[in-house]
Amino acid sequence: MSKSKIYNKIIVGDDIQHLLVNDQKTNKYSLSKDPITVGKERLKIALYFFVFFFAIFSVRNTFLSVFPGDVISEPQFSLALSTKKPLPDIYDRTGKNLLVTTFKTTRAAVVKRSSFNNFDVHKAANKLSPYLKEEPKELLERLLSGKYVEIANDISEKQQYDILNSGVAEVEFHKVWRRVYPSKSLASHILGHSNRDFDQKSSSGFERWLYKNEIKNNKINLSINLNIQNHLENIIENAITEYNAEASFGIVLNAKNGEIIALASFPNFDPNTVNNHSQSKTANQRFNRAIQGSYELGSVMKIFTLAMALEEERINLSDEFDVWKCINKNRKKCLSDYRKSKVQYLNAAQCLINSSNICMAQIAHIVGLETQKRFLSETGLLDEQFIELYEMGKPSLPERWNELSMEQISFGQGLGVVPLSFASAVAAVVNGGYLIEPTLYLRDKGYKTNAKLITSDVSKSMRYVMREVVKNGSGKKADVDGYNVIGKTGTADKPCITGGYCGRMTSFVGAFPGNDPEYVVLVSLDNPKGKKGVRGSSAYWNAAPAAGEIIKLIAPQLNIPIQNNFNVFQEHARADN
Amino acid sequence: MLRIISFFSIVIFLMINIYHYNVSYEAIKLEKKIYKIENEIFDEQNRETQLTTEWAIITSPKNLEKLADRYSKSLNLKPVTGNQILINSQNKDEIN
Repeated sequence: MSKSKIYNKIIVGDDIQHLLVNDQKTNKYSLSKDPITVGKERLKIALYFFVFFFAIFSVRNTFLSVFPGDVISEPQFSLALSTKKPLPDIYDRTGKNLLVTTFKTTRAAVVKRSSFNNFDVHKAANKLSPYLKEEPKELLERLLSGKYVEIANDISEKQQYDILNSGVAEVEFHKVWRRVYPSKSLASHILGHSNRDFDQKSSSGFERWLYKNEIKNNKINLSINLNIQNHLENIIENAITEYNAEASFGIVLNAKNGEIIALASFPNFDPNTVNNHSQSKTANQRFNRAIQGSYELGSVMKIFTLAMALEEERINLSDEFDVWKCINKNRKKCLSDYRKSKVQYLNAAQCLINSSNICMAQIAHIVGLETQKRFLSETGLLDEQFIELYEMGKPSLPERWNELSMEQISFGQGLGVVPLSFASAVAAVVNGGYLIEPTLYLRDKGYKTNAKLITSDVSKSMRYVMREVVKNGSGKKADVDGYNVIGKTGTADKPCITGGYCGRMTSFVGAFPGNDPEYVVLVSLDNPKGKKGVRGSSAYWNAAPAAGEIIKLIAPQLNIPIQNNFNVFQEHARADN
Repeated sequence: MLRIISFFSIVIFLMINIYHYNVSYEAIKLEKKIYKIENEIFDEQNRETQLTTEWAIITSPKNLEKLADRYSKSLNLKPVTGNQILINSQNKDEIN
C-alpha cells in the first residue's frame, strides 16, 4: 500500500485517472493533498481573481471614458482662507466708495514653539513694548500666560515693520479681512461700524443690517450722496461751534420717493478706530440723533395742526382767530406766544407765519382730540419708523392724551417724534399729499406711492403758507435766491430728566424748490446759546441760517435750476385776497 | 487562442493602468497650477482693493475740499450756483 501511494504521487498522466478515482473511494485524504490538483485549483482561484479585478478595471475605465463628468475628486490643494469677501462693498449713489473690504495684515501673535527653547520672554517683552504702546510688565504677564499669545489686533503697516525690525523671531503676522471706511467719519451714523470678526453684537448701522440679513451681493449702492453728506456735516459742525450748541442733526430727504440723500448727527465717530475705545466712552458719539432719538421739536409741528384742520375742512386760511384770548384750561397761567402779536385778530395763515401758540390751540379745539390722534398716526409720527437700520427710535407719546396734551401737541410740545419720521411726514405735506417711506436703498425711477395724507389742494395751500413763513416770517434767514424755499422754524423747550424743562432745541424744516418741492431739509440744534452780534438763541438765529446755507450749497449739486417765475404762489395769493 | 486573448488583455490592462496613472498625475499637476493661479488672482484682487481704498481716501470729499480751498484763489474756484444749471424738466430725471 505504501508503495502504490508513492507511485500515485509521482506518476502524472491520463492513464492513471481511473486509479485516482478508485483511490478516492478508498482514501480521500491522500487525494486532496495531490499537488497537481492543488496547484490547478490555486491557479483557478488566481484566475478568478484576475478576471474579477480586470472586469472591475475595464468596467470602471469604460465608464470613465464614456461619462467623464461623474468623476468627483477633492482638490488636493485649496486656499487656506476663503477668497470671498465676508460682506459686500458699499457705494453711494454716484458710485463713490463708502466702504471697502480688504485683506490686510492686522493681527500679530507670539507663538512659542518647542524648537525655540531659548526664547527669552523678558527680552522679547522689553523689545516689543514700545511698538505696542504697552508697559513691558503687562506685556510680560501676557506673554507668560500661554503658548499662543495675541499681542495686537489692529496693527498698521508701520507697526508691522517696526515689530519685524525689533528682532523677536517668535512673532507671527496674520492677515484678516478688514472693513475700511475711506471717508472716515463721513456718513458714519449711516454706515455704522463692524469689528474684525464681523459679529453683530459689536457692529451697528448699515453694517449690522448687512450682517443680520446675510446680504451677500458684491456691491450695494446706497441712496446717500457723499458730496451732499459732506456739505451737510460741515455746516452742522460749524453751526455747533458757532452757536455753542451741545449737539445737532440734519436730514436731506427726497420728498418725492423717500430716498435719504444725507443724514448727519453730531458728535460723530470714526468707524475705523471706534472699536479701540470702550462702548460707554463713545456712547454719545455713537448715538444717532436723527434716527434713534425722539424730540419735542416745537413750532414745526404747527404745520400738521394747520394741514389737519384744512384737510378736515374745518377752517379756511382766511378764518380769523383771537390771539389775545386767554386759554387757561387746566392751567394756572394763560397760554402765551413766543412773541405777542400786535393785532388781536390773525387769520389761519398768519397764525402759522407768526407762529402763534394760542391760535394753534384754538384750531386744535375746533378739530378735536380724536381727529388729531388719527391724523398724526396717519403721518407715521406715532409709530416706529422702519428703514434699513436696526437702531430706530420710538416716539414718546404723552401718558394720557387729554385736552391739555392736545393743546400742547398742536404747537409741538408733549410729543416726542423721531426726526426722520418727522421729515418724511413734512415731505408728505408739501409734495402734494403723498405719504412716503424713507429708505437707504435706491428707488426705481418710476416709483410712486398712492397713499395720500392730504389732498393736493391742501398741500398747495400749505406750501403757500410755508413760503410766507420764509419770505416774511421767522424763516427769513433760510431763504435762498431763486429756490423759493418753504419751511417753518421751531424753538422747543427741552424736557429735563429730572422733570420740567431745561435748555432749548431749535429746528428748521424746509423744502425746495417751493412750487414743487423735491427735497426736504431738516436741521436741528441742541441747546444753542447766543453768540456775539446775535441777539437771540431761537431757531430764527441759528437753525434757519444753517438750513439756508445747506440749501444754497446743495441745490445746484442736486441739479435744480433756479426758478424766477413763481406763478403758483402768486396765483394762490391772488385767490386768497 | 486563450493565450493570445490573455496576452492582449494583459497588455491592454497595463496600458490602461499607465494611462490612468498619467492622467491622475497630470490632474494633480494641474491642481497645483490652479492653486497657484488662484493665489495669484487673490493677491491681484487684494492689490486692487488696496488701490481702490487708497483712491477712495484720496478722492474723499474732505480731501478734495482741502485741495479746493488751497487752490481756490489761484484757480479762481467757486461753488456752483443755481444760475449755472439749465435743464429741461423733461431730461432732468435722466441726469439725476
